[in-house]
Parts: sequence; structure tokens; C-alpha cells
Amino acid sequence: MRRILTVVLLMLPAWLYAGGFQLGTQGQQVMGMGGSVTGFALDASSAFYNPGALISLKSSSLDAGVSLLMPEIVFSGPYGGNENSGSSLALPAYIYGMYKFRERWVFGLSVNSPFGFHTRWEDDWSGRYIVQNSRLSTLCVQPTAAFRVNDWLSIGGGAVLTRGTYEQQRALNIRQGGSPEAGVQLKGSGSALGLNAGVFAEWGKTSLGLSYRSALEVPIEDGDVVFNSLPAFYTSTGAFPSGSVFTTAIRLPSVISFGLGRSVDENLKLNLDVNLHSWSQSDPIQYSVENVPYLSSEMPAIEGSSLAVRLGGQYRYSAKLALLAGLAFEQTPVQGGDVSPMFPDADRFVFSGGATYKVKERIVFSAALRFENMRERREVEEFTDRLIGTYKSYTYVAGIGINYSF
Amino acid sequence: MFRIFIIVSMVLSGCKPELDAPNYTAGDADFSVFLSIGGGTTAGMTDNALLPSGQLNSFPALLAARFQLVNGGAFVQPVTSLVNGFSYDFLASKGTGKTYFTNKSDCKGVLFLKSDTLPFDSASFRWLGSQGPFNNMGVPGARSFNLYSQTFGKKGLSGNPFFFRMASDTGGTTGLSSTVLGDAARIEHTFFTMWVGMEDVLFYALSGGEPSSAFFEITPVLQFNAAVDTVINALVANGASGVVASIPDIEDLPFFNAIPYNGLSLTQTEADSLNQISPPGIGFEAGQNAYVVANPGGGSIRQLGKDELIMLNVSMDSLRCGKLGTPQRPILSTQVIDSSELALLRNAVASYNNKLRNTATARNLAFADMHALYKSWSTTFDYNGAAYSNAYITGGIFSSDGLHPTGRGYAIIANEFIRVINAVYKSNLPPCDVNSYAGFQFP
Repeated sequence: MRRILTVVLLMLPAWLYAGGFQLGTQGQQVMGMGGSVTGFALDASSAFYNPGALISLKSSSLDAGVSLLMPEIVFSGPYGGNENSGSSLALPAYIYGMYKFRERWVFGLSVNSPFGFHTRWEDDWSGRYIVQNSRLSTLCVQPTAAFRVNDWLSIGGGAVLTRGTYEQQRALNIRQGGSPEAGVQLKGSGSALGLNAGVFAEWGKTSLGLSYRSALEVPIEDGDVVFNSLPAFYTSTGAFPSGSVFTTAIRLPSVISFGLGRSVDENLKLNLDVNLHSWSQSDPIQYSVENVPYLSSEMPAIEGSSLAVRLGGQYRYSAKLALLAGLAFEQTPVQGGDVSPMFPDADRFVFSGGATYKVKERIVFSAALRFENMRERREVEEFTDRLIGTYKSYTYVAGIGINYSF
Repeated sequence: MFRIFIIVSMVLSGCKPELDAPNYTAGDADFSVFLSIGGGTTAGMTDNALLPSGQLNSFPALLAARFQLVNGGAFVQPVTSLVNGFSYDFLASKGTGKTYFTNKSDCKGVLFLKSDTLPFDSASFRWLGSQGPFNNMGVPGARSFNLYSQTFGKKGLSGNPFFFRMASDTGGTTGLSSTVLGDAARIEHTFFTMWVGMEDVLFYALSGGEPSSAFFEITPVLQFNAAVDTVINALVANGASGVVASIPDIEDLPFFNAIPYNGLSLTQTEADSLNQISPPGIGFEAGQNAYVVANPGGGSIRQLGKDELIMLNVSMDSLRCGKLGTPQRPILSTQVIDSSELALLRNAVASYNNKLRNTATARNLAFADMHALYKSWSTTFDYNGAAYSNAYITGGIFSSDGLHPTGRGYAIIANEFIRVINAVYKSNLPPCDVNSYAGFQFP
């Protein structure tokens, strides 16, 4: 049987990858400090945040952790009423193995899910023809090396192999009497290679960090397209060919981070971070399915950059217990009125707290909570991929981790 | 530990974000008693019948629901309980049920939707006039001058069966029935919509421009103008404000535009063989060809011109496979609106709409330009990710009859009324979420 191949060009809007697409769950201590860690040698999660700081680890270590993310979004269209997002939990996890070699070297491997989002709306909500469920997940594997140049300067870097999976579900404005509305599901994966490098410097009570993560474009080819509940009128005409595929690219911006750390006294350490995300995408984003006009749209281009400022602190309460707190402001790169129900990003304030507890000489448990309060955001322009109305979001995150040093 | 973590998370997420509802206001309007007067689209006809689903989603009912957010009151409609729906075929003078579709394969094995009509369920037909007064005085088949006719509520051919079922007095004792305007006055309205005129041209169009009786004539413009004055005088008599709506062109309804004049698709061989049997002046070639129609009175035949309309009451089966529209089997002239008939219809609609617009202006009423709205549907537009147009079957605005909207079509119409009401009366009523109403249903 000849396979009908319809290529669906589905370019994920680059602006989805705002501050919020970064899950910030690559280490519970870091999360507790509001993600502020570039200028601070904290734990093995520096492999992600600043590989240069890894050298300051006191010993080799193994780290593992998992977080629970719960986004809560509410939408209100011009017709009134509040429509809440449905359950869209995500459970990103991480594992770091770092081996300290002759005081001047650290070699390690990290596996984590630094980017992603999951937006699920009720199946019958008013934006169901745009999106019911949209989910991006990534898995990054990063072999890393760090090297101490001299007594105050160290550098580090790694290759980042990223596997990205995108899935989306939405309804089609077609209904067979007595049946649920027709719908389409898309799902596909792809891989890309990137770079992560950093510099870390320390003089007495002050430390500085500078890190760079390259932009990534994860191509997704031959993604599955499945149409559901189509009436005979449409299946017979081939308007929605089975065996269609979709092609897209997940774009992640480059990130430059600068951090300044300071030990206030024996027990209190503070860090200030600035992250700059840069987009280079300037073409209009095509979103079309051959012969399926229901799935076609074009979104405006986005380019430029966005900033995040983070302040975090660690207070050693006792030999066993340390407390963490953080505060951050993350700017969305999507300024103006453009906000998509796939991922209604907005400027956000982040509040976090956490604790680490040394249960044994070599074992430390960590736990952190984070609350993100996104600004109310109004979409005023009607595009095929957008909904006129107002969005407001909270995100709740809770995470636990364990560290074993040797 | 993991359990505690889950519990903590659940507790945290108990707090969901909320958005405040806007403060809706009525502005200068008093929506407390809302009256809607008009024809089939006001009554909520869908699938060419009155059905509870269509009536409860009639555009006046949708407006009333918005009015109730401010100072609006109850909205009573004469909702039918007939399972098949209630309709009447004015061409055949008989009661019917709703139209519906079935999947059917044509002779080439291509699936298409075949339209059919359910029978009239006379056993459970009931007179509802005692349940009035009604806020929705939309009467399918009502022309402008019928609204004050004292025979309109009578049973049989002198009356209108849609009004007969809801008239407060069907003329049993005096021989004269109550009138639509008279029954409307009983509600003592403060706000109204008036959407009349469509039926003043529709029956002429449905007869293919060959009226078999006065009933199928276009209402003369002078008579229409006088009727509009009479109706509007009655509507504003008690100081009510409201909206006057214009009417669409016939050619903007799928019933008249769904079949292209040149839908006859031929191969070279088919064209050659048709050319051999065709009289002079009729010719075919490979590709799309104009259908062949019989001239009024029969005998001579001709090919349709670009500006002519074929009605959806032709047999789709025969059009696809039965040589309908070829010299062997020309389309009946009563199923075609030729260019001169179309010109008459367009002129009448333009004159009516002038009168309606001038009336709204002169009386300081809002004007809803339904003529422009229906015309705009020839271009596909998007509402929250769903595409809509006046395309038959796939467009989503019109129901199976090609004349009356679906629930979503009515919501789009209601939103235009709301837009002009907000603009003129300085209210801020919210629009309807179009996609939340019943759309086109495929078999």
C-alpha cells in the first residue's frame, strides 16, 4: 500500500521558549535559591548552570532528584467566565555524576530535563481548536570537564546532546452527530548537539561566574499525525489523509549568565545572577498542513532578547541544616500583545525556598519549593493560533534531591 | 518522604489564579422586556424547522441571555415539542419535519451528503397560543405586511401555520385572528429587534422567479415601505428603543450559491458526444461547463450564465450521475434564478434595506447591517481557531437547509447585534462564545 505522505510544517513558535520554558529544576539547592547560582559553587548542578564552578566541589559526588511541576492557568475570553487549565503535571528529574581528579580536574556526566512545558486545557474549553494539550519535554545528556587554571580561576565545558519531544492535541471544528468532536494529535522527537561552557573566579569572599549555553535547534521529522472521530464525509474525501507526518523544529535560545557571589559571613552566602536569553529567529513562523486548511496559520516573527535577574541566599543554620531562599524576576521575550494558549508566557516573579539536611557524613537530602506568579496578560489581536482574552498563571514546583559525596 | 512531598504539592496547588469578571452595564438601554419580531431567522429556524435546540439558540434568545447580565428579564418563546421539528413547505402546501443528511455514494462511488426531510408529526402538534405572550415573535414565512394581518393566525391557507400555532386568537369565533403586532404588544416591551423583509423576497426566489400565485411575488417596494412604517410605529409606540436589521441578498445563502453554474465536469469524449446532440448555441469542452437549463414554458434550452443561480432543491444524485444539467435532461427553470430574476431580487433587497436603514436613522434606533454581515461570510474567517464561511456543509454557519443558520451561525449574528447595541446604547454586553453552540452535524 502506498503511504500517503503529507508533510505538516509545524514550527513551534520560538517565543514559546521564554524564561518559563526553562524548568529550573536541575538541582533542588539551586531551585531553593531562585535559580541564582552562576557565581556560586554550590553542587553538581553547576554542570548545567556553570561548568566552570564544578572545580570548587570539595569531592566527587553523585546527585539525583525529581521535581513536580504544576502549572495553573486561567483564561477569560471576552464572553466572560473563568476557564482553568486542567491537570498538567510534569516530573522532571536529574542525575549528576562528578569525579574529582587530582584537585585540578573534574569529569562528569549529567542527565537532566532543563527545558519543557506542559499546558493542558479542558477538552471542551473555548480555545480547543487552537490547543487542548501542548507538551514539550527534553532530555539532555552532557559529558563535562572542568579545569582549574590557577588558584582563583577555573573553566569548564561540555557537549550537550538534547533529545526533544513535542506533542500537541487539539479539536477540529467538525462533528459527527452523536460523536465527540474530531481532533488531531501530533507527536514527534528529534535530537541536537549544543555547547555549554563557563568560567568561575574566586577571591576570598567574592566569586564571579560567566557561562554560555549555545542556542539549539532540535529538528523533528516524520512526526506522527493522528486524526480522530472524523465523519465519513471527511475520511472519504482524503481531506485529512491518514499517514500524514509533521515536521517542526524546537528552538532554544542561547543564554549568557553572569553571577556574583559573596560570603557575608561564615554562614550566609548570597548570589546575584543575570541571564540574557537571545533569539535570532526573524522569519515568520509557518504552521501549515498541506491540504488541511484547518491546521494552517502564520505567526509573527520574534527576535531580540529577554532578561532574568535572580537573587539567592544560603544560610547555614547548623552543621546539618542549611536554609535556602531566592527571588527572581524573569522577563518574557514576548512583549506586546502576543500570547498563545499553547504556552501563555508572561513576565513573572519567582519566590522560592528550600533546605538541605545532612543525614550522614556523606549523604545530604535537599528539598525546595517554588512559586511563580505570572503577570496578567491580555491578547487583543486575533490570529489563528491565538485567542482574544486574558491569561493569568501560577506555577507551583516542589522538588526533592539526594547528594552522595565520596 | 515522597508522600510528604506530594501532599505539600497538593496543598500548594489548591490556590488557583482567578480573573475578575468585567462589570457589565446596560448603558442607555432598558432591556427589561425584550421583544424580537421578524421571520424564520428570528424564530430560530434550523434545518428548515423549528426545533427546541434551534429555538433555544435563536439569536433573540442569545441576546436575551446577555441582557439578563444587566437589566434583562425573562424571555419566553413558543418552543415546539415535536420530535421531528415543525415546518411547512409553502411550495407544496404541507406540513413537514426537519431536513437532515445521510451519507450516500454516487454512481462513481464518491460519497456525498444527501438531504432528506422528516414527515410532519400531526398527532402531537399543539396550539401554544395560551402560553403567551411571547417575547420571540419571529414567524417563519411572515412578510412585512403579514405582521398586522387579521387572517395570519387562522388555520388553513388563509393563515400561516407558524403563527397559527402561537397566535393568542386563531379566529375561531370572530373569523379574524389576532395579529403578530397585536400579540407582540401584549408583552409591553422596552427593547426590541426588528428583522423583517427576508420573506418578502424569499418566496419569489424559491419559486425560481416563476410565481404560481401572489404569495410567491416580491412585495412591491411601496407596500414594503408602508408596512415597515406601520410595524415600527407599533414597536416604538410605548417609547421602546431597539435595533432594526437589514436583510441579506439571496445569492449569499448557500441554498442559492452552493451549486456553481459551471459545475458540469466533462472529459473530452463526454464533451464530444454531448456536442453531437446539442442544438446550436450550446457547446461543451473538456473541464468545467455551464449546466443546461430549460427556458420557462419548456421547449428551448440554453446554458447558464455566470450570474445565474441553481437552487439546492435539484436532485444532487441526478446532477452527479443522472445527466441532469445536460441537453438530455435540462434543469427546470423553476430551480434556477436567471440573471433578470436575480436583478429583480437584488433591487428589491437594496430598496428594502434603504428603507430599513433610513427608518433606523430617523427613529434614532440602532441599525444591524445583516446584509453586509452575510456578504462577509463569502470569505472564510476565523473564530478562536475554527474556520467559518457560508460554504454549504463545510462552512459551519448554515444548517442543512442552506437557508437558516446553525446555532453557531446564530451566535455570530447575535454578536453583530450586540456590537451595534453596545455602540449605540453605550452598554458593554459581552459577545457569545460562538464555538460553544451547536455547529453543523455530519451524518
